[in-house]
Amino acid sequence: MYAISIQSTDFNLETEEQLAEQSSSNCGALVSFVGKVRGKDHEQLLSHLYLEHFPGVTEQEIEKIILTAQQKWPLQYVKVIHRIGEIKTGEKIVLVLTASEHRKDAYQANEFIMDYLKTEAPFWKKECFANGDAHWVDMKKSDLDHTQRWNQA
Amino acid sequence: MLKIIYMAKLKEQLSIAEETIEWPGGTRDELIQLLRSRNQLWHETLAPENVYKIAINNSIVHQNAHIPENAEVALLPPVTGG
Repeated sequence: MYAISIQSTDFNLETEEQLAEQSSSNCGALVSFVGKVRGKDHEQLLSHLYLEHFPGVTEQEIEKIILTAQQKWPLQYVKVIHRIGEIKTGEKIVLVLTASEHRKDAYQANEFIMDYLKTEAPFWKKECFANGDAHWVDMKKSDLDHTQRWNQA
Repeated sequence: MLKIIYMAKLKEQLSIAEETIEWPGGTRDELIQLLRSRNQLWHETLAPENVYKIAINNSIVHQNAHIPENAEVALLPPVTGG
């Protein structure tokens, strides 16, 4: 079982963990990753991020990532929440929650989903700085390397 | 006819969100070449490193796919979510 949500509002981690437990029959491991907006980038103070996505297509791409993870690891539940729009410093951007019987499956699947989210899902991040400057973030080569590593494993 | 949608950075740099052009059918590479030939700004903005993927009729394609007539295409810059 899995669920995907793309939303402008914040999410509550405890609520999501409870939902995961209710949806898994024999859950021995629950891993949650929360991505947050840093306070600064390259020593420049951030005001907020602006996240754009590709409605309709983003959900399909995330679904593909989750289905691939479910083929690789026995997962009882997966939840992905990704926020869009304006997100202030210190706020949560993304949640990946994986539940399985054993911890290694939940850990590895969580990292796999997060790595693919960063390089496959059509989201674009704009950094808006405290001094009024703004620029679209470039894709990091290290993120691509992390994703490609799964093909070699 | 072909509807083209420009996403995120491409939309801002080219100052266009979407347009419709004459299109007899052709490949992704042919379309991008055609758009690049417009002028220097288009040439630089649509350089290979700036166009990560395209979506044809709401489905992301990974290779140099054929784009039929009357399709809807979106040009996507490299993604940066998460």
